Amino acid sequence: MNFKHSLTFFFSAFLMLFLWSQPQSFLLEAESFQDKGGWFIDQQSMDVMGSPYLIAHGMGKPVKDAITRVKFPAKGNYYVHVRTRNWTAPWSDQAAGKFQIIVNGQILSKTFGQDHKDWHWNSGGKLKINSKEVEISLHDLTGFNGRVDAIYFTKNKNDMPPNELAALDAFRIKKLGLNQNPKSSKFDFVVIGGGMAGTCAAISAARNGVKVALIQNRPVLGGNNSSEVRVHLGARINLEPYPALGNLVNEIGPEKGGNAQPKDYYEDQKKLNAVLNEPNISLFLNHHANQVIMEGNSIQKVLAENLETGEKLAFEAPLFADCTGDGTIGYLAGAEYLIGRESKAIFNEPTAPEDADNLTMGISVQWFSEKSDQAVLFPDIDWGLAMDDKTSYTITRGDWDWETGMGKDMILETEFIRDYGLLVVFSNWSYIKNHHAEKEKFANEKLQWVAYIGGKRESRRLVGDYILTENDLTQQNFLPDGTAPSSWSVDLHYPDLENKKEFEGEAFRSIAKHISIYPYPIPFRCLYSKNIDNLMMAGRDISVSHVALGTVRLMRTGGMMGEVIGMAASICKLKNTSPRGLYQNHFSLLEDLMLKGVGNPTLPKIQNYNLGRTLMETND
Amino acid sequence: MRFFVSLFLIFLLGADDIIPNDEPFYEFETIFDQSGIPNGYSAYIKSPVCEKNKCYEIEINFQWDLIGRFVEYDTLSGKGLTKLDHIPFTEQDYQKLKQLLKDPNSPIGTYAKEELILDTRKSEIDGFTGATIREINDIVVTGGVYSCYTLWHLAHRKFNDSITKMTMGLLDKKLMKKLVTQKDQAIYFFLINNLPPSDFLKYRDDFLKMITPNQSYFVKKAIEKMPMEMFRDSITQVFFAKQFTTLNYFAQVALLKQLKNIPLGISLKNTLTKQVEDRNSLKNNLIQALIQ
Repeated sequence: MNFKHSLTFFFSAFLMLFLWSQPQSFLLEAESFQDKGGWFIDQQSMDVMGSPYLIAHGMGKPVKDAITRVKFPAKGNYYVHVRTRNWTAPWSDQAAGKFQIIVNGQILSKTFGQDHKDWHWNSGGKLKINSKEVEISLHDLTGFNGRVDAIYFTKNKNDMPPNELAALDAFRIKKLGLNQNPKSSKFDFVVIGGGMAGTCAAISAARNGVKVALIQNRPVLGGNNSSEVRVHLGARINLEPYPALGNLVNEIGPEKGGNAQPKDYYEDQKKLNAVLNEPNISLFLNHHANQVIMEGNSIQKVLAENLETGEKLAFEAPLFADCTGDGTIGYLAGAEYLIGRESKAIFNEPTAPEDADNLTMGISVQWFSEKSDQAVLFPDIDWGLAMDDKTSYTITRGDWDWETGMGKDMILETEFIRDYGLLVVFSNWSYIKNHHAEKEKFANEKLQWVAYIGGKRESRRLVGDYILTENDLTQQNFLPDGTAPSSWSVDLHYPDLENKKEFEGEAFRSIAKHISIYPYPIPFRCLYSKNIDNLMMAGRDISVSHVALGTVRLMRTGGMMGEVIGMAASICKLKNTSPRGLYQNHFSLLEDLMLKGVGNPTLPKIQNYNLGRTLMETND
Repeated sequence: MRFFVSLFLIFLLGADDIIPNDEPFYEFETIFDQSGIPNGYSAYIKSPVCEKNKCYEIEINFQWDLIGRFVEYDTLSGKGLTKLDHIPFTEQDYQKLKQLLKDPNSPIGTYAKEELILDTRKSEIDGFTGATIREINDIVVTGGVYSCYTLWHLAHRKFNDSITKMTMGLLDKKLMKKLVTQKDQAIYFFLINNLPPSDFLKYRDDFLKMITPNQSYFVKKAIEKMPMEMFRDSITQVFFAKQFTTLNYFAQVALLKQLKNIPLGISLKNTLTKQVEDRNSLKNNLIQALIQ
């Protein structure tokens, strides 16, 4: 080899090495788009399908494009893969949520959202990238909940992104360069879940001198009572034996009642301001806690993922509260839990079924329409459920009794259950707008709002040192560690059998059965885990039987539980003890705090809606 | 058999020309039982039912029990109820009215008269001006919403204070015994809420009969209402010494708080001493302070 050849060889080798070392691919998470246009982040199923995603929830009208600008590793030809699914595939041959992808003004020829039933990488063909700075848009075609998790660009034809979840997770971490061992921030108390229970827990603890982190996986606080779900608060506050409990619920809760009402009914800002006004609270919105680090039987850290960037934050504390509703933190930590319906034999409950089963209460996708000055059209969809004049509902509001998923897995099938909720709302609305004999009555009705965040009623219940049952409630077995009183009736939901029959066994309407009770103070031992030493709970994931859940699940009651565990956190800090240690050795301090209350007692009692009936004496 | 005695009280707030002030005319009578002990009240009522300036009259007899709970109504012979356009009530309408009046917690009680009509919400498909709001539409007589509203408020709201005053004015040992024997928690609450503190000892034996287990928060409330001299009374102390363990936790704590600064008799002190526990609680702290 002469010198010239050698030079050519080395130069070629260097060039190949250089090119090889350059990234040949680029992963773009949809939730990281800078301008989301009319698309929303949906994280409800991320523990199951692996990531938050963007959803085009336009209620039949295509939403504004989501647009982002990204720097590509290099110019050249790229193969495109899009992780998406056809969400109507379980019910129809047709696809509801179709969308396109536009790269630097060039529309990819493939239309997405119409192929696979499950989340899957779909090939989008090959395209040429001429500039390093690239503009990418998600272009919705239908307004019917098309969804996209991520887009993968690769120069290598054989570089297929993985569909299998564990491999996909590793792929994401590698491609996005996510740090899996972030530095911890230290707090006295970490509350996971920013519904009424978690929000009250955080404020209560903060006002009692505790440094709190509040982690919420939505952009707003309030959970089922936020404008994303629109369920009004229910049950009573300021009752015996601790009339000061509920002052905080009164302080931060909305003034107006009603399910599925206009957004301002739910006063998201009021709840947010209440938290922002507390110097002791660090608030982390849009963060989903999905990992715990244990030390023996205690949680040492909780890790939460930023919904937009995927970056993780670590929260270290001596005490945690699971206010997630799903018992997510307890589950990750290995806490004992219950789910479904216990058999009669387990707790000797009259209302329990003879045999245990998986029938839980369902998820509500609520909706309403409003009258316009002129006729408003709605697409005559070809992917909906078949309806007729008899099986459709000529109404303008879908309240709590639009309920799906009773009998499904509330964790693993969340997306399916929510999607069925969407499907039935759109199927019904499309039918009565386009086909019903009385469709003229609906000519000017405009579908104003449909939830895309499902209102969940029931999920895992974490087991505490005591499990509250129907008999405790009906026999008034008041226990010495009673705390927040549960006043709503034992209110259990079941599928509407007629509706179930009409729709091939998959009901979307429900009925409620009530057993009235005297307000019952929930034992403190139901508010901390039996086997995870430093975990408390408030809200619907506390230690109760399925039947007893029927009363404690109301949001004012959950808010009061939050007040209680916030107080408990301050005592645990003061006495350097666990929740169980508090119960055994310092309970009188909690009693003192419950008598004192934590909310502003001077505010007028304005929440006179949805109090529910109790056996409480009328003169009480 | 019930019999009526002479008029017990007559309220004459209305005049013959009833339309301008919208107030009913009424006459109350006390109803007595066979032993001559009061049993409830009956009233003849003549009330205008008005919508804006348009009025008509209804005449009716109502009955309440001693604590003001509505019992039943009777129409007067030849004076059946009518709706706004003088249309007489049908048998079905009477049944509906009966159902409505039976419910002291009816949602109709949560609305002002002005809110009953005119659903302004745009979204209501069958809503039109003049329709009864949907929240109460099913529970009122069609076309008779103002009659129903007026009668429900007369039955459940208007006379509560008057009836309370009448019953407390009639209260003596015989009536107290009768009321307590009925084992009705609403009556119990009526008594603890209205009995003057100075009268508790007078009725002590009957009063203590109300203190029984499984009554939600009644016992706690009763104990909180009891004046200090009750707890100084040795018979009351012996009663609580025997009953202490049957009371729920919150009633126990209420009692222990009331006993602060009260000299304890031997029986109550012995009972409390046995109640000391290892586990920390307010109850435990209060007991320890009392038996030191």
